[in-house]
Amino acid sequence: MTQCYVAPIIEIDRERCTTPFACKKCLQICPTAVFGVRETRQVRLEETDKFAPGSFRLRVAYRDKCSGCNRCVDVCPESALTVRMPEEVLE
Amino acid sequence: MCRMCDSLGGTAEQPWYKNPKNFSNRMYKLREPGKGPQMAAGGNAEPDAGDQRASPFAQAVEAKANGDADTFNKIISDMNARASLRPGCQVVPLHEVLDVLDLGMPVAAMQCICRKETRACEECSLKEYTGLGLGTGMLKWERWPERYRGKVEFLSSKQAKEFVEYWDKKGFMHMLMQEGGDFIGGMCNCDYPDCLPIRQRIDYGLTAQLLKSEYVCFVDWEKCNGCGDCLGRCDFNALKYEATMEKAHIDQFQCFGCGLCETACPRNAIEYRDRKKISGLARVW
Repeated sequence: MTQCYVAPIIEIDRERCTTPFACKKCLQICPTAVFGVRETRQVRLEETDKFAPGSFRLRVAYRDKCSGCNRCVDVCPESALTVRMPEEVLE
Repeated sequence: MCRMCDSLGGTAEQPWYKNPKNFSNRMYKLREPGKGPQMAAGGNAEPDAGDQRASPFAQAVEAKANGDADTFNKIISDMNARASLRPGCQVVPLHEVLDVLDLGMPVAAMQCICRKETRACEECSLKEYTGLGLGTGMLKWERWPERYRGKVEFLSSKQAKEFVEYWDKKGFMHMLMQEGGDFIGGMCNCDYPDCLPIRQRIDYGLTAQLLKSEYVCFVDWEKCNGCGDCLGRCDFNALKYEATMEKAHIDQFQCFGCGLCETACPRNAIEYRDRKKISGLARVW
């Protein structure tokens, strides 16, 4: 049996985080590689423009590995990330 | 024998990936008339966790992050049961990779989609590519290389071997993959944590989709002088420095037989042994 611990909740403000594949600061700073990024849409035979807003989408792919160190929050140039422990755990 | 050898014509002397049938043209699927192209892996953005359309794996991660061990274990055991019926990946040490490259022509270098997804690595040229496409699946791209997403670069057998040796030196282990069918479609050069199969096996217990290699690495303590050059090469938490003995130490049950420690050892103190011939490890895949 795998032990499971409640992990922090990571919120991404997608109004602010628009070009994550070009920025990639949180993706590369995370000590446990929690984030993932994918194209929102692929057009056949065309390379996706990483600078076009909304062409890539950041997601929290491995939230269970988040230690809550907040390095991604500090590095984000758009202040698009928040990391918090669920309130019921803190009580 | 592992399940791949059972189903794909491997023998005690020759593992499945050295059976030329697994590279053959008959494996090449022609598209059915009227059917459109399939979306490439990694194409569609995964829905957010909690979404009904989230993949079983995303649901398992979410359950784990919520502290829900029962749901997590149930999803993972279901996924393992399904994956054990499907083609998968296997770790292959460098010396066997070099043999496979001769069988698997044409060989092309291409970007790694795992590294693109987890660390946003952009691999756009031969200097940066870390993946290899092999065999019949590459015939189409040999004809239209500019139409492959991220581009591909075709390599001669000699170039392909130098390519793999370069990444081995840097610290990437190697695995062979089947692509959507019975033929061998690719060879990845990977490490933890950005490689999805390694990560899913180590962190989440998805054991069926990535098999250990045919080998296990042993340290010859007569030859090992405890220099530590191999330390830090292991992606599977199998290798450490044993202070008591002042030697490198490999946990045989954690070892995937990738041989990265072997290729780093200046004294040839690490040796491969056939997993199938060691009674306690013959069933540990």
